Amino acid sequence: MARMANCPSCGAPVRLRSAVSVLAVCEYCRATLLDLDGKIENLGKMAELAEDRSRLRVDAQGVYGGRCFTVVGRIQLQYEAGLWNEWFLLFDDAGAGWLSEAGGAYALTFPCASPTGSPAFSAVRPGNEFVLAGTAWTVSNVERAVCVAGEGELPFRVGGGYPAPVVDLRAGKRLATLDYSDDAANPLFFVGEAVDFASLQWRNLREDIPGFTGATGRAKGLNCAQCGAPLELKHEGVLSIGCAHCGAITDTETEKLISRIEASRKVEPLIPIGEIGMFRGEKLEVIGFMARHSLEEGEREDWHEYLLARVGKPGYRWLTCYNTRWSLVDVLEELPARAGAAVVCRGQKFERSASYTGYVDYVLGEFTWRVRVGEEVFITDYVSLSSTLSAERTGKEITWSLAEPIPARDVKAAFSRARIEVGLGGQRSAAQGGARYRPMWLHFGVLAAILALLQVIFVLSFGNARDLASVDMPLIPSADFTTSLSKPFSLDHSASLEVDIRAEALDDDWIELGISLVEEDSGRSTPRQKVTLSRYATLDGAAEVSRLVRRAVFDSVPAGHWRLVVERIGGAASLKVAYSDIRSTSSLAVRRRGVLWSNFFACLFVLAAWPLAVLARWRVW
Amino acid sequence: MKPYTVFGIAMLAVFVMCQINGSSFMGTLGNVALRVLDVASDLESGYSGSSGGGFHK
Repeated sequence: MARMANCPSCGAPVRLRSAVSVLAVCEYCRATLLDLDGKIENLGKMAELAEDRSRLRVDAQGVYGGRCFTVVGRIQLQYEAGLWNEWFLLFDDAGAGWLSEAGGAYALTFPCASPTGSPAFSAVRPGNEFVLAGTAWTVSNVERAVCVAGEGELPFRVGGGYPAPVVDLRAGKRLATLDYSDDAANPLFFVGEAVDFASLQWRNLREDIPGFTGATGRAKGLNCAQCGAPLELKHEGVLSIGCAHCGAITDTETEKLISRIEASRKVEPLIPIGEIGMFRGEKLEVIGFMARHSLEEGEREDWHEYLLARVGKPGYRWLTCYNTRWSLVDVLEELPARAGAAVVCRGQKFERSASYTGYVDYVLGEFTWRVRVGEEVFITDYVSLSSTLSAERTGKEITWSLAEPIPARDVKAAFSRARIEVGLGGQRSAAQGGARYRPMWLHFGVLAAILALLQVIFVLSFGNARDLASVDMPLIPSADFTTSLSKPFSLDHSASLEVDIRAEALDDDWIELGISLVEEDSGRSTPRQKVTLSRYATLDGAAEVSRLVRRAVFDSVPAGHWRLVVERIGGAASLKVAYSDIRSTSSLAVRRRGVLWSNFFACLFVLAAWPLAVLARWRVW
Repeated sequence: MKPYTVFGIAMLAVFVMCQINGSSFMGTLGNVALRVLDVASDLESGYSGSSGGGFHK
C-alpha cells in the first residue's frame, strides 16, 4: 500500500508507492525526504539531474515477462565516459526491479541476496572470472561512478556526489551487477538480462525531450569548444561531437574541449554525416565517423568506423571499412563462451586470428561517449567462415561485437551519397586477414634472395672442400709410440678442417687415437678428439665388423702454421704385437672444408621461422 | 626499421661469418644462446663472468 506524506519543505504531497522505498524526492521543490519508520526527515535539496534526453520518466509504464510495472524513481550516475540512468521499477505484484539505460542499451535486473565470496572491488579487473550464486561470471565492466542526482522514490539513501563503485558481470545472455556503494564487503547483487526497449510495451513515455526528434526534427545548437563553429546535436545519448572545421571534440554537456587535432590529420569519410539509408530493412542514419589505426610489429593498419543511429527508435549499429572491405557491426549483449583458444557465439565457433591495440585518430559527428583522440583499446579478433567477433578491452571494460561482412555495393545502394567505388573484383570477406601479414613475407623474400646471392658468392669463392695436407703416417708403433706429429701445413685464414683416419691394416684388433692440432708458432692446440678404429670377425668367421675409417672435424681453426698430433690412447692388450702388423698404408688426411650448404638451409629455415610462427599463431594463411 | 628486418640482417651476418670460418650456423646460434644465458645468469648472481675462449694458451 502506498504511503503518503507532506513535504516538510513546501507542503506538497509526497507518495511512496513501493514498500521498500525509503527515500523520495519532492517533485515540486526537489527536497530529499528520508522515511525512517514513518518519520520523515528532510535531507536537503536534491541536485539537479543532467539533461540526457532520455525517453523514460517517472510514471512511465511497461510490461516485462507478463508483469506490468511502473517507473517510480531514478538515479543518474556519471562515469568517465558519460552518464547512465538506473530506473527503479515497481511491479504490480509489489516486486521491485531496476532498468539500466546506457548509450541506447537497456538491461533489466532484480535484486538478489548478496552472494558469499564476492571479490573485493579493488581486486576486480575486466575479464576476471569467478563463481557467484552458483553461476560462473565474467567481469565485463569495472566503474567508479558517482551519483549525479535522483528523482522519484528510491530504496536507499542517495544524493549528488555519492560514490557508486560497480562491477558488471556477464554469463552468456545473463548479466549481473555488484554494487559496492553501501557496503564494500557485502555488495548489493542484481541479476537480469538485456532487454529490447520496444519489447517492454511502453506507455506514458516522455515527449518533451529537448533537441531529440531523430533525423527529421530540430537540433540543439552548440559551438565547437576550439574554433566556435556551430555544431548540431540531433540524437539522444550523445556525449561528444567532432567538429568538421577544426577536428576538435567537444563535450556536449559541459560544452568544453575534450581533445583537439592538427588540421593535417583530418580524414574525409566516404559516407557523409547525416546520410540516411535503408539497410537490411532498417532505417539508419550516419551520425558519427571515426578513423582509427593499429601498429603491430612496425606495421600500421588504418580503418574507419561509422556510428549508425536507428531512425525512430533507440539503439545503434556500426559500419566499418578496412582496406575497402565493409562490415556491419553490432555490439553483443551476450558473452561468448570460451572453447579453448576459440570462442562460441550464437552456435558458431570463432578461431582467434589477431590481437592489436587500436588508437583513435580522428572523430567527426556525434558519439555516445566522451571519445578523445588517442584513445586506445586492446582488440582481439576471432574469425569464422562468415563473420568476425571482436573483443575490445580497456582498463575498465570488455565489449564484444559481431561483424558481418557486406559487399561494398550494398553499402553504396543503402547510402546513395557514399563515395564508394564498386569494381569488378568485388570485395573479400572481412573474416580473411591475409593482407595484414603480406609485408612480412615480402621482407622474407628479400632476405632469402640476399641469402641465395651470398651463397653463390661463397661457392664461387671458396668452392668445395680442398685438401691441405695428405699425410701418410705409419701407425706402426715402437714400444715407445705415444705421440706422432705430421709435417707442418699452413692456413691463410680461419677454416674448418677435417682429419680422415684410415687404418685398413688393422686385423682382429682395435686402437684408440687422440687427434689434435698444434700451432707451431704459439704452441696453441685444439681440444683433443678421440677416435677408435677396429676390425673384428664374427665368431663364426662369416662376417666382419670393422670401423676402419673415421673422421675428426675441427671448426674455426685460426690462421697459422699447424701440425697434426696423433696420440695413442689405448688398444688391445697385445698392442705391441698388433702394432707390428700395422702397415704404413694407414694414413691421415687433413682437408679444409668447403662451403657448407647446411648453413644455407639452416639460415633459410631460421629466416622463415618468424613469419611461420606468426601465421601459425593467428591461423591466417 | 622493422623488427623482422633487423632480425634477418643479423641472421645473414651470422651466416656470412659461419661460411667464412667454415663453422656450423646452428652451432654458432646455439653457442650464442648459451653465452647469453650464461651472462644473464652471471649478472643475476652478481658475477662479472669469464672471458671464455676455446684454445689453450
